Amino acid sequence: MTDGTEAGDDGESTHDPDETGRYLYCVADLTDTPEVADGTELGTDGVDGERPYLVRADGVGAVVHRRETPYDSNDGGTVKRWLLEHQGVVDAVHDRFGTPLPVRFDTIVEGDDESVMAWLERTGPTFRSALDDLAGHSEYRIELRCDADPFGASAVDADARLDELRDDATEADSGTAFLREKQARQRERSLVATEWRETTAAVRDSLASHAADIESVDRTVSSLVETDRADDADFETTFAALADESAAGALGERLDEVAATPGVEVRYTGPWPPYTFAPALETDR
Amino acid sequence: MDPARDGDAVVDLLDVLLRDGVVVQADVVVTVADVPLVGISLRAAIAGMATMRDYGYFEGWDDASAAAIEDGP
Repeated sequence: MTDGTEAGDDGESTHDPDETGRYLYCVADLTDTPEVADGTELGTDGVDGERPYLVRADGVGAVVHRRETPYDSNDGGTVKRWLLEHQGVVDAVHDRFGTPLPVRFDTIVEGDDESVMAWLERTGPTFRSALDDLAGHSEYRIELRCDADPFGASAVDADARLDELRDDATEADSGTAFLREKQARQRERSLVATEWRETTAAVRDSLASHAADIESVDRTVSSLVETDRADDADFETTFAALADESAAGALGERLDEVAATPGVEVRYTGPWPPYTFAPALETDR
Repeated sequence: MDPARDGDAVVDLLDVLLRDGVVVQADVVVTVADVPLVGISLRAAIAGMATMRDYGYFEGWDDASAAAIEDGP
């Protein structure tokens, strides 16, 4: 098929022209690449083996393939494959054209290429402003995981009230001892939780001083991530940071310090398209 | 430390694709993932993925994805 630099033909030859809908991956800034023609294929396989291509209007381009109905499946393997394929296309666009506006999986625009083009023309300023805001930046994700025993040791050792409860537990009769032990365990958990909250808040503040933007990511809604990764951590906190390449280096240096804290594990991933920082666009209102 | 983009990292990102990214609300958009009927089915499918991954079911996909994505820009 085509490679990544070859301009496509009119794009209609291998597809059913009656298919009136376009699956949308992302919107890219094409201001600096005037040579990239409308209909250019990306040279990357899209969702379900489709060939994504560019619909271009002025300085912006929508990366699409022909698709009328949304993707849906009860099969986890299929859905995951689609998601990886979608992500692969957005990444290819990111590498080639700079930071795109990544669109949520399964967004389909009604009509054919001309409809998409007309829509891009109508809403060019909205896209341009969002693209300008994100230009040169990527999303980085920072996952902090806590092993409570080593992490909380110093806070626990320094707590006088906990010492008292444990002394009482040793000296009292069995009924009182049971109660004191229970209170001691609760106090210990609460001390470590407080310490974790304070530590992660401080990490967030120091990362925020390097990043263009930072957000806490609520992973409790995440079925995939929860069941996959929250296996042995006592606490887990995730941030998404919007940063350029040099800021990403500064974040990494700060995270080296964080990772030196006893009981703290750091996972640092990226660069990703700025999913977390992508705006909601109301473009026809 | 340097940020990683390996297969595991991509997998962690997948849920983000369903939840985040530009939500285009426009008259011309006929479907988005959080239309209830679509969303429920997709999410149900994903809930079962972790287990499948534990059995190595997706390994080929992770490798393929990591290869396709290469290193950072």
